[in-house]
Amino acid sequence: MKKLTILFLVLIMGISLLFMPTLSTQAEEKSSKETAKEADEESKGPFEGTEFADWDEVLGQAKGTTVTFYGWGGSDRINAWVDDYLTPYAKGHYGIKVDRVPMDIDMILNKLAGEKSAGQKDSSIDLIWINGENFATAKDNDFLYGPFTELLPHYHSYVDLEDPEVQVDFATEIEGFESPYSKAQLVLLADTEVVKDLPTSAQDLLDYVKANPGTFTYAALPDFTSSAFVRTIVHELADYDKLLDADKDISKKDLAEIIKPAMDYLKDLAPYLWEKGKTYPATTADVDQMFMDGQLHFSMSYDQNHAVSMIRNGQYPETATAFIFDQGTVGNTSYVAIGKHSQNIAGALCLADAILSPEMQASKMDPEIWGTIPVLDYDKLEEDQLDLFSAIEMGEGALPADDLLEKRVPELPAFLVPLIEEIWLDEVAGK
Amino acid sequence: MKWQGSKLYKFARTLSLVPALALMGLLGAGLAWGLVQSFGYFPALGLEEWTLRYYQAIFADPRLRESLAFSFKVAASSALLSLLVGILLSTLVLAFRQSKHHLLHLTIGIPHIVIAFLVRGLFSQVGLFSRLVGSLGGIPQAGNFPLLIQDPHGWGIILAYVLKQAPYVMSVTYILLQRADTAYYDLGRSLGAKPGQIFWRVTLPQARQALFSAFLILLAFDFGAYELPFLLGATLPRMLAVQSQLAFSETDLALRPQAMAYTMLLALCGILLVLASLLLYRLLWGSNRPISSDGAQVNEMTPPLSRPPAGIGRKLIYGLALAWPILSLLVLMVYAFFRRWPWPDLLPHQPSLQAFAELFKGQNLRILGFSLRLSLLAALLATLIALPVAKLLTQGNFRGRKLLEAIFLLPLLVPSTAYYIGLHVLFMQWGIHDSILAVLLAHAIVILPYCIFSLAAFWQPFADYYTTAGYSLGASRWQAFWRIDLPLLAPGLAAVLGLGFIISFGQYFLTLMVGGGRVKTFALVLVPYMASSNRALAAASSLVFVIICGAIYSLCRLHLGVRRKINLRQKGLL
Repeated sequence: MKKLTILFLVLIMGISLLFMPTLSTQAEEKSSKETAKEADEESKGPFEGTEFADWDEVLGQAKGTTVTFYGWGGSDRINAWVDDYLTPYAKGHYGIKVDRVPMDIDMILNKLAGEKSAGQKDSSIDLIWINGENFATAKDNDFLYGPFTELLPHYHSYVDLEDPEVQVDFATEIEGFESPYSKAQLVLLADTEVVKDLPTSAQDLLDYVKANPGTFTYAALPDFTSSAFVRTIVHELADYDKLLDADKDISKKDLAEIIKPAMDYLKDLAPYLWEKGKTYPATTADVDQMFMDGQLHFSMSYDQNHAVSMIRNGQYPETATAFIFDQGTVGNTSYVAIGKHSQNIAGALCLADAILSPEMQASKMDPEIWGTIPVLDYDKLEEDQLDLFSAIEMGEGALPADDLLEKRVPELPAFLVPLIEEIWLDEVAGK
Repeated sequence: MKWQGSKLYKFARTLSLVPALALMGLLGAGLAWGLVQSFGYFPALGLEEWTLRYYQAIFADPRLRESLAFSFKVAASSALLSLLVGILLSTLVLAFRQSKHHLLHLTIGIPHIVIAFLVRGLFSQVGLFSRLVGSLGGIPQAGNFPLLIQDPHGWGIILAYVLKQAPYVMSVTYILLQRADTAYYDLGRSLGAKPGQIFWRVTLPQARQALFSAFLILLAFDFGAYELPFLLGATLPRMLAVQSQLAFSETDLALRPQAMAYTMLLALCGILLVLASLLLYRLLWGSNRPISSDGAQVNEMTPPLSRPPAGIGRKLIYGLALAWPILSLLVLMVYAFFRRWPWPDLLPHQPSLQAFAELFKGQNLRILGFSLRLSLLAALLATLIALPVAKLLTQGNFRGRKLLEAIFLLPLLVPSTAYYIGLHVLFMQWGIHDSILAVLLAHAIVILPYCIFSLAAFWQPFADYYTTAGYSLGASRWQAFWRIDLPLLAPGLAAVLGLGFIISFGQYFLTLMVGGGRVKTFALVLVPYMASSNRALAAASSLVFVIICGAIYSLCRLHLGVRRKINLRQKGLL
């Protein structure tokens, strides 16, 4: 009995510690709602309703400060670009120091949720690399500062404001809560020495795999890249437009009906995959490594210049290349957003602005460095700025940006993605 | 004697337990937060009603039963096999009088992600063994090599767990056997029993209780850990731990309570499993007292068992056991130092140091240095806090002992996802979030059980034996501790410091959540690379990690352990 009492007391103490903050959050939530109303009423200029009078004040406040930049750290090339190009540029032009923090987006969201539940008003998260369903969640749960894109000079100068990918992210209205960062597109990879005729459609791929069983596979969903591959198949074989307009409350059953042709294709493909489709690799990195070792003839990546960098560091054969289907592959834009309780909003704004500069977008495009598609509107650029982009040589294994953009399929609404992953698990993986 | 009964001494002794209990209190608070959330109460996301529906949703999942059964099967097999292989290896170590085996002790602390990488490097279809077979012409394609990992029965997972845990069991058993009473051995021999018979039927049962504790810890740990099943398991069936972790990456935050519910279920199952095993043990072997005529703990220091010479069979098995760390290091070096290694080549192509250049550029070197100091500090902190508790556990049975053991076993039984978010929230309320202090505390929580139980097991045999002699000769409490206990404890302390360091050095999710990404440790650099396609970089970072762990561990042992041990041996005490 005594032991139980002690245990009970410890539990009570622990729980009581939790109820302390909820009292304070309620009071603070009320006051923040009031200020938000004030901001809405005034629409005279973009800076009205914010704590800044104009862009010069933003620059002034930001100078000499450190800005944390949270985002996925799994790519050494992207990390290198942020550390070796963006950081010096930001220092030189804005006087801000960039602190890159590698953290997966789901951890970032968990942290933001935790901060909110603790009633935390000073967050260490300034700028966040985010998109898609994660953005939708962050926006809906009031984790983000905004709208802020109208405040950025480069946004007005260089971004195509009519571009749908600037207004809508995975079918969620952006409304100024995130600023464009880079564009990416799913590509398939193969060694041209081994695969003489690159497949140009899903059917082509199926034929090749049937003739050469065990040479293709994709990571188990919900892996980011293979999920995009499945959506590419859905685009090619099912009624994609219907899905783009899908109702938010669509049932799993109805969705399964619509994407049935794609699931049937994957089921047909399964027996000819690696391990006869009885199991799928855990991550796309595994698929890539099997490709590197020659076990698989194909790989895939959401980084369209993956082949370029892997050939450069010698891990891919020189005859490797990226390719896409004639009907296109899914692509998306990724963005940067600002944490609501960031302690350095001015700095974050400056960094977002720096990212939109032609110099940074061009350096990012260089496949020797990172190699992603810029988010700027070429029509809005001056001669000398355009030269920055045309000077870039596409490396071996790369696909020309025009080609990719032509065959670019928009992403589906965020809420469909987890449902599709579940349907895949039920229908394809389990069999 | 006066000192025993002194009220101040008793008070100080109780007070010394407070830091350890406080750490566990933190854990409890984190758990409670998670529990509350699993019942649907998460006002930050607008969820204010208490509900059971998240649990109901879990139980409605048709795959749950399969998942539970699979999890139990894998955990039980891993723990059991680790135990058996470990005991077997310890007999070999006894036969070979090796002291290098202590290096194998550290495999328990190596992060799962590195173990998975190593296992893949050896056993996958493009791994070392497959290449050996392929280059000898045994199979035409890599795909023809049997799937040893990622199989639907979970053998890959079990293999990885055994490779990770058996050396630890071996070390523990070796220490236990060293302290076993030779009287029984001599008696057995005089009655005509063979050494093997004596080992399995007399000596080992004496260590039964300690071995069973080790088994329990392994069981609970293997049930609740997710990385190895995720990386080395088949897509389906999924272990419950994997399901739980995937639920945390769900983008729809409104489903967070569901993820918490999964974790709570996982923690509960782990605890139930342990309780069931305890019950089974009690049924099979009665209550927990070692074989001893007067019922007291075996306390004397005895000379080591006389060992029969090792035959060729044992040499072979021992060689095989050592092959695992040697071969995995080899594979790691190949991946790190060479660019291409197409199957089935045994020799890789294009040597290059590029991976290391990329690994050490920028701030990574600084991060490494910082990380080393941080982990050493965390290990030191945990060891200091653990000392009073370990001492208490050597004092035999007392009221509340079982409860105390249960409390301190909690970090091992409960997956860290259950409490690390709650811990972070707590630190935010105290204003110490995203700081080095927060990370130190969090790491100390995780390291503490290893420290306490390893130290207690090490201290047990000579607990009050020599200090009592010291007191009778007029030593004060402090003198007794500083000049008698501590030197005797030194090897145990060394092992515990080294282990604590490795565990702290390899923490990823905990550091990330509690430190907010601002406290950058080497693990934060290592883990994203391991998940990327750049295998050379992943291998380079793993190599650096393993070498550092080995170096620190050896340094600890060298500095604290071996020297003293030699002295005591000369004096005929060990």
